[in-house]
Amino acid sequence: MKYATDLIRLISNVPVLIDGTVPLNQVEDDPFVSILYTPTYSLSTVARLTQNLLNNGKIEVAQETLDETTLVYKAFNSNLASAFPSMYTLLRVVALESFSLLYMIDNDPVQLQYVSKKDILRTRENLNYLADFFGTQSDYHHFIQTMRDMNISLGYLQNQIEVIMSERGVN
Amino acid sequence: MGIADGKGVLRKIAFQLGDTFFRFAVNPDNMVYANPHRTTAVKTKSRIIIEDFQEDIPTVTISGTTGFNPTGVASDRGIAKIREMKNFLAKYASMGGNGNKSSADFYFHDFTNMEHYVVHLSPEGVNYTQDANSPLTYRYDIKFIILRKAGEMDPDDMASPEIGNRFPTLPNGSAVVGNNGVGSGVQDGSGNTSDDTPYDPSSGNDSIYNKDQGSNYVPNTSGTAVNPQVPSSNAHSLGQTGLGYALGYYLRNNGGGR
Repeated sequence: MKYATDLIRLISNVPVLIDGTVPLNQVEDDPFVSILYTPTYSLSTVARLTQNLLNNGKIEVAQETLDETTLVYKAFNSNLASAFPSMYTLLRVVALESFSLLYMIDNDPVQLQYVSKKDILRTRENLNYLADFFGTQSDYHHFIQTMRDMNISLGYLQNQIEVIMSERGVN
Repeated sequence: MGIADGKGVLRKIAFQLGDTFFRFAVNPDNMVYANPHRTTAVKTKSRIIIEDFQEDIPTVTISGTTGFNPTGVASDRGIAKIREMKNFLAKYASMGGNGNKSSADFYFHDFTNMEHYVVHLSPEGVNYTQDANSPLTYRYDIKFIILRKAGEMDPDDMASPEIGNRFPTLPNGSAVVGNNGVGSGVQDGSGNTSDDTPYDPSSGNDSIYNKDQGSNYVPNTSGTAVNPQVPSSNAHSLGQTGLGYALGYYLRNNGGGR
């Protein structure tokens, strides 16, 4: 199975320290503070495993145009990367986490043993934080719908990891 | 000194920062306008392919000496003039920083050619030279990037207002099935247009969800409720497809997966 070039471009080279945290540029001005959600700048085990696959060139890409509704399309067709670099980094973290989950379900369900409910909840918290931030910027309102869809979908997945594993014949 | 006919003095160029001018007592020896072009020429087997991306960054370079005592006036002496120039340029240079250039514009006036530009110091900046061959004079060499003509507006001050809501929550009439924008205001026999019909929440209009963004995610099309808390293959396949489409993992046009 091949994946769209843009998707792989977005999730590749997410900076990460040895303990799994994602370093941020501290010079940036006041970070956005959400009343409800606290972001976590770190990668889960399964995302680190996927990063290894990406770095080793194990994931094939195909030159495909993505739909306008996708997160990847929206990320590349906005000025988020230059205007709000830390938000963009968080968006990439979220995309990488989601990709890792789907990739492992499809290709290597054994690795799902490393996925915990907390990892998914953390990704959802990050998604909600991003959606909260996008709500304050009219240029980014169109992101919110995709964020909500992803949040709901992850909600469907978070209790089902064991079901998926047993369905795929992994115990 | 500037080119003089005994009555008037022709001063070729000057710098301006705010209301302050820097005038040269001696015109520069050399002045070069460079207008590079962003062209790539690729040599292929049969012909030459040109890729054109319009103009590159234009520059102007001036160099010369401030002289020794060109006019007899104390303030026009070479050493005084070079000090004045250093202060003038250093003042401008110190106004920028942290990624931003100075908000005050630096003007380069070329009076003889009647060209006036807003400029900025190039990465090469300014060189001041003293040489044993001419111990009493100072040379300068300045390279500016031309930002725009002096009469043009700063792009930062231009507004491009966006009127209306680009991403409306509710559908606009033009996207309703059977009414694809063209002729959407056409009236039917009773004088109603298709836009007149109000949305009836009880009608179960499923197109209201995710309107104008493509129907991104439909949690359940079969009509039976899926409880995400209960382990079931139905629940995780909904989550998988929903997440895959929203992220761009699956492609929409061929029904998911490749």
